[in-house]
Formats: sequence, C-alpha cells, structure tokens
Amino acid sequence: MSSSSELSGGETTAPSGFRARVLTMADNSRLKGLTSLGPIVTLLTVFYAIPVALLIVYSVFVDDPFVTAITFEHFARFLDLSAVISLQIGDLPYVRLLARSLGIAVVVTVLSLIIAYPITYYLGQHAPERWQMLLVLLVIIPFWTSYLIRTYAWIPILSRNGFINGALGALGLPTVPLLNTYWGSIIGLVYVFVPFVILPLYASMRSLDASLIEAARDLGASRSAVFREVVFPLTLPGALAGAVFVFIKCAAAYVTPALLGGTSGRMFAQVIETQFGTAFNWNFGAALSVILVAVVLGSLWIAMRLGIDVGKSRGLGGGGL
Amino acid sequence: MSSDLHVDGVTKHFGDVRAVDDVSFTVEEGTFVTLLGPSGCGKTTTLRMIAGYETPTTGRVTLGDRDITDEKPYQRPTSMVFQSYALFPHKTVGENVGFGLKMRDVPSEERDRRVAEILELVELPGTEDRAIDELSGGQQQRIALARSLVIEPEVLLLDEPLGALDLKLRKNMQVELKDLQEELGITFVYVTHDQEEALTMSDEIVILNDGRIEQRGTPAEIYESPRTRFVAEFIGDTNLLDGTYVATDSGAYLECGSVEFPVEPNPAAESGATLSVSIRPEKVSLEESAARNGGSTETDITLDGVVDDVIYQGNVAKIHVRIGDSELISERHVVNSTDLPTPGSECRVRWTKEHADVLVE
Amino acid sequence: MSTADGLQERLGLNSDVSLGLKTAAVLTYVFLYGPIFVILVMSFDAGRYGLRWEFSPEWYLNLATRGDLIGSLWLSLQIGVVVMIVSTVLAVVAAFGLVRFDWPRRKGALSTYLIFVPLTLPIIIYGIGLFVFFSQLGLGRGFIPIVIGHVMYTFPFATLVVAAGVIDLDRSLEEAAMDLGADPITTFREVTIPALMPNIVAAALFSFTLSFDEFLISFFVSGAGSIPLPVRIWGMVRADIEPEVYAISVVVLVISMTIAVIATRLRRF
Repeated sequence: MSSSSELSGGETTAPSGFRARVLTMADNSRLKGLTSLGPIVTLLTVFYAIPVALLIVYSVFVDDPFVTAITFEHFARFLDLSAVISLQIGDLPYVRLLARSLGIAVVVTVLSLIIAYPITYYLGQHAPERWQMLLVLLVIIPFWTSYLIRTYAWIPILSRNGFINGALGALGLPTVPLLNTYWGSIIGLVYVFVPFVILPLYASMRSLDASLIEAARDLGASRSAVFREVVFPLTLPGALAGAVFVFIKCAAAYVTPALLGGTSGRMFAQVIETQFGTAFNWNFGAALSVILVAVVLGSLWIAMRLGIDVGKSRGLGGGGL
Repeated sequence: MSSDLHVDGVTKHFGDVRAVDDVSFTVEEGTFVTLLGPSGCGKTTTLRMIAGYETPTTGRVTLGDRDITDEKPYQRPTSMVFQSYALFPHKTVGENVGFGLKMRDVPSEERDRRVAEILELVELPGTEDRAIDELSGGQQQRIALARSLVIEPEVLLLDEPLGALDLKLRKNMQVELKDLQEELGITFVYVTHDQEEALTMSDEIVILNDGRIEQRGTPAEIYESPRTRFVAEFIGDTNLLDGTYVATDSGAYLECGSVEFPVEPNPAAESGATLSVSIRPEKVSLEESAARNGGSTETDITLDGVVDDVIYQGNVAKIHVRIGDSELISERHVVNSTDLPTPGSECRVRWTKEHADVLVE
Repeated sequence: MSTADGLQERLGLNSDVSLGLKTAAVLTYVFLYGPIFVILVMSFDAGRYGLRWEFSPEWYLNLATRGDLIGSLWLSLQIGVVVMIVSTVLAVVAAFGLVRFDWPRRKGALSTYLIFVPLTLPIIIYGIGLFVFFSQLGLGRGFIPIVIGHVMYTFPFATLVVAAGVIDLDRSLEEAAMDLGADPITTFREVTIPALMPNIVAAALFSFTLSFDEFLISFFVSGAGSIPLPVRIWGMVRADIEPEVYAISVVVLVISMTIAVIATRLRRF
C-alpha cells in the first residue's frame, strides 16, 4: 500500500498507478462475481440446461442418440406436410391437440382477467384499509398450497352426482356433464391460475391514484366511463403481465386436464407424458417437448415485443404446473 | 502534532463522468468546514473519498502526516453521519451507539459507560434499550451523531445530516451541532446544499460546482465578496448587472447599456470583457426623490431610476427599480409600511463601490 | 352539477357500486376457498359419494395405520428441508452476485437469463428432461434426483425473494458499519445478513413449501422406494378407491397454510 502511494506521487507514474489500481479492482470484483455466480451457473447448466437440451438431442435421432441416424421424422409426424397441403386437418391429431391447448389457454386467460378485475378493483380502491392486508393474504395463501390437492378437490364438485349437479337436481334442473369434459379443464385451470392475475393486477390497482378517479367523476364521467377511460388503461400493464404468465403456464398444463378434462379436455402436455410413460417413444416425446417449449418461448417473445412487462408477474412465483 | 485534513489534487472519475475535478483544500484541526453546492456538484463524492468509500482516481487525502488515501473506511480515524442516519434497524439504540466500541474490542463495562455518557451529551439519556423505529426523526439524528462521536473520531463527516428534518427542528439542530463541535473541538466536514445552513454553522465554506471548487472562504467572505457568478447567485439573493468591463490606469468601470459606473478593479477580468457585477439588495439604498443633488463619486455610485414594483414581505420590503435597461432590487427593513415608495415614482439608488463585486464566469 | 353528483354518491348511490364489487369479491373468495372447504368436508365424511354426509373421524384414524402415507409424508418433509437449505444458500449467493457486481453487460444478462429460465419453461418439460438425463447417466430415480430437481425449481424463486431484499438494502448501513470499524466480513455477519433476515427466512419457507407440494418433477424422477407425498396422492386420486386421500390432503394443506401465513408476515408483498 505504501509503495503504491509513493509511486503515484510523480506525474508520469500516476496513470500507471491508476490503471493498475483500476485493474486490480476490476479483477477483484469480477473474481467476487465469478465465485458467487460461477457455481450456480455451473449447477444450472449441468442439472437444468443439459437435461432440457437432451430432449432436443433426442428429438432429432431415430432412436438412441448418436448411435442411430439423424432424422426429422418425429417433427414430420407432428406436422404431416402432405396432410397440410391436402388440408386434411383430421390427419393432424397433434396439431389439433396443440391448437386446442392454446385455445383453452386463451379462454382460461380471458376468464381469469374477467374474475380478477372486480375483486382487485375492490381490494385496491374500495376495501377498508385495515382489512386489506388480510384480504390480500387470502389470495396469496393458495399460491403456497398444493395445486394437485386444490385441483382434485373439483372432482367431487363437478362429478355426475357431485355438489353442482346435486344442487341443480335439488332445484329440479337437468344435470350437466362437467367432470371429464372440456369445461372441466377450463374450470380447473381458471381456479388454479386466477391468483396469478389477481396479484399483479392488485398491485396496479393499489398504485392507481384515487384522485384520478375522483377527477374523472368530477369532470362528469359515468362510472363505466371512469373504468373505461381511467382505471382500465392504467391497470392494463399489470393485468397483461399476469395474463401472459397464465397463458404460457396453461398451454403446458398437465395435472388439471389429466384429473378433470377427460377426452374432450385433453391437452398437449398429456400426449407428451404418454410418449415417456406408456408409449415409450422418447424421441417423438422429445420432439413434442421441443415444440411445446418453442410455443412457450415464442409467446413470451411476442408478449415482450408487444411491450408487456413480463417480469411483473415473475416475482409472484408459486404453483408448478 | 497537528492533524489537519488535506485534500490534495483529488479527481474522481465514474466511467466517463468526472465527478470531482482536481479539488484541493485543507481543513484545520478543530474547525467546521462545509462543502456546499447543488446536487451533483461532487460534494458527497468528495466526502466519501475522505471517508474511504471511494478511492480517488488521482490525488491524495492526508490526515496530519498520515496518508489515508488507500486506507479502508474501517481503518480510518474518521466517522460519518449519514443523511439516512443508517441506524441498524435490528439493533437497539445502545447496540447501535456501542457498535464502534465493540468493533474496537472495548470491554462491555466501559462500553456501557461511554454509551451512557454520549447519550447524555446528545440529550437522550437512558434510551439504550429502545428500538430504533420507536424514535422520532430528530432523535434518530442524535443517535446517529452519538454513534459516530462515541468512537472519538479525529474527523467527523456529516452528509446532509439535517436534510430529513422539518424546518424548525433543523434550525435548532444547526445551533446545537455548532455548539457541540466547539465544545468537543473535533474537526467537522459538513456537506449540504443549503446555503443558509452553511452560513450559519461554518468556520469556512468550500463551494463546489461541477466537480470543481468555485470559491473558499469564511461565510462573510463568501457572502460579501463572491468571485464568480455561480457563487453570487447560489449564496443569497443578488442583483446582477451585465455589461462591458473597462479597466484603465486610473480605475475600472462597467458600461451597462445607457449607464456606466465605477467598480473595484478585478485583476482576473480582462478589459473589454462582457461580465456581471453583483450587488446584494440590502447594500443598495434608495432615495425616493431624484431631486437631490450629486451624481456618482469615486466611491459612492448613484443612479436615477423609476420604482417598478414594491414587494412587501413583513420585516423587509423589496423594491424593484428600473434603471435604463436593467432592473435593480433594493431591500430595506420596514419600520412603517406606509413609508414605502409607490410604483411609478422616480427615485435614485445608491451603493458603495466596495459592495459591488466584479464576477468572472 | 358535478358537486351534486358527488353529494349523491356520498349519500349512498356510490354504495351500489361498492355493493356490486363487494359481492364480486365475496364470490371470488368463495371460488378460491370452496374447493378447499370441500376437501375438509369430505375428509370427515363417513361414506364417500354417499347421498348423506355423516361425520366420522375414521379416515384420520386410519392414517395412523397407513405406513405408506406416513413414509411418503416423512420423505416429503426430508426432501423439503434439504431443498430449503441448499436453495436458500444458493439464493443468497446468487442474489448478491446478480445485484452487487457490475457485470459486463452481456455476461450479466446471460447469467440472469440462465437463473430465471426455470421460472418460465414448463415444469413438465424439465421433469421429463431430468428423467431422461438420470436414465442416461444410469442413476435412475430417487431421493437425490428429486432433491436436485427441486433445488433447480425452487432456487430461482428464492433468489427473487432475497434479491428484492438486497436491492432494497440501504447501502449506507454497511458503510456505517465499516465506518465504525467493522471489516467486510464482520459487516456482512453483523449488519448485512441480519438486515436481510426477513427475506432469507421467507425464501427458505417458500423453497420448503414449493418442494413439499411439488408434483411434476417428483412424478418423473421418483422411484418405487421413494415416493413423495404428492406423487402418492396422485396415485390415490387416480385409483379412486382410497378415501384417506382427503384426510392426508387436509394434513398437507394445514402444513402449507401455516408456512404461508408465517412467510407472508415476514415480507411485504
């Protein structure tokens, strides 16, 4: 230390002293950074990136990777070009399944938004201050509980002689098939995912300045106009952040359609699981996995291009579907 | 051995930004020096280099004979009071104040005694077991001060410590801090953007702008003889008259539109340069009738004008006077508000030459 | 006119809106908690899918005799604790690495992406990938693969929780400690870690509960000898013949909700 201070005393040596000091500092800081992130990046590479990359490898081999030939037959089986050209949609079962999954994801996302707006408007702008913490806590708690259990709880509610049909029967109304249908999947997914929209939207509602609403009212806006002109545009970013998250998680849902969806509510992730669980066609399963990942990342990319702050939803965490 | 603090040719770059540019000053032992300037002027960076949180890009910081430029903050005999107070929220008042002593391995009995003493000094005796969030802002400020003082630093560094307090409390604390400093005889280096605070408390003020020192001096020197336009405008209110500076062998004067008047020669200014002259409003006296005899003399300047506006502020009034193309404000104490001139009336302003300062940019 | 409107609102017209919103909020809470309540009701139902509900604690009493369920619960708790410890340590290190060091722009972004990719990719894809990975290595299934999968899944969440604390942490606290004579290690121990404690504990609890409730990764990498509770519950639900499933589910929900309540008290949301 003392020698460096002597060195930098002279004018000519000062820059080299400065440079040396900056370099050691930069090295030091980078060293610290490397020691902190290095092991983690290594772990993620070995135990996350490689396993996922392994699926990409499997998807382009006939059978065992690197032993058998490289092929695109698994992707061709998903997207049969001759069927596409002849417009034989019926010959594209996997494409249709993917389309249905994305359709379900859209419906679930829209329904979640419809449910989330009133409650968050209430929580953010109307709920008494002293109850607010508790009420928000009640939305957060489901995040922390088993989605598997919360999903199968719908079986006795939706089944042929379950709670809903029991109630309809008691009212003399005809029963409706719900369990093991398209709507079974949708109800279950909305149930599991609606908190993911409620929480970021609540954050937006909370930060919405109440005087803006009063000012709009004061300028003669009706209540619906206030919502349309002030509340909705200002809270949309939060809603969209949650919506994107719900969409990508729904598109890959497995547990809910497997428990509640039956045949008409069957989704894409289930057919992937089948390839590994019962069909033992890992290569085709891997190809379908790659397609699903591409769809998810593509949706995220489009959302980001549209200016949606996807990061807003990320921090909320929870629920592994 | 004296332990004056020397900041010697210190420059600090952050990337391409030069936050502090060749700053040098000396703080004599036991004095109260304020680094004053607008936000971003480099005052906090300078303080942080004295404290050891930043290393100067070039230049040295020495305390007496000891070069502390490369010493870590925890090796230096300095201590800092932060704007946010930086009190540890998970520790009690006593643990906060005793922290520095604990780090110095002071036995717990002596530690408790010294903590009690210093709490007495800051007029918060017996608060050892209180939690930080139970204290008011003013009390937290005192605890932060006590925490730094208890380790008996050679230099106490204060980074806008009163910034978070309300006006009245701030005024009280200004006086208390100054008294405390005089009582303890510790060197204080104080950073603020509040010129009034600087004038009230300091033995010497260092005015920084854009990373450079604009002017150094006692509060009176700074206020009464600003050397640059920046200092004149930053400290207090002032009249700035722009014109052409003409220096001759017999003296100097300023051509200001249709009028001209003598000024003290400024060796830093070139003859023929366009510059400003600063005159504090309270140095400008006003005579309500232009009928009296006598024009400017060599030391007394008198100019005729018209009252433009009169702004009544209770104990003082500001009278705006139009002289040719310029406007001048004269400030006077109000004894009787009916004595104030009426707008539109003719008048004559007068000041002494030594009260007009020729400014360089 | 506008003042008259405002007055009318204050006199009660506004309560229509409030009432509508309140009703919507109540219905949403019924929607969120109804199914949980159904689980509770079913767990005490003597006959299952019977037309009449009859109170009976017999399924809870049966749990004591179900060694397989107790074993799975115990395994899930063990996995949860190991995952919690590993994930939290990694999260603290990663949070400091991400927040505190000035990375060259690209490298910083890359490691950030790598850490947060697990938050966006479908869990089922990761579960399958891990299954293929361990099969390839010949390591098969069991405790270690589950722990590894859960750590990769939980630690990005834990990192977010800790990083939020590191970002909010007032740097001057650490500077003040150093100023008062604490060297960097003492500062870290005496000031940084205690100040971050609420976030660290929240991250730990979050990691535990995410692991404890995790199903998909476990589904693919758990083996015959080591079946975590969610996988066991899945099997019971699919088989549809074991009424104890509701009772054990209530036990799981009580554990998770207790942790959730503790955690949400620690951290602002």
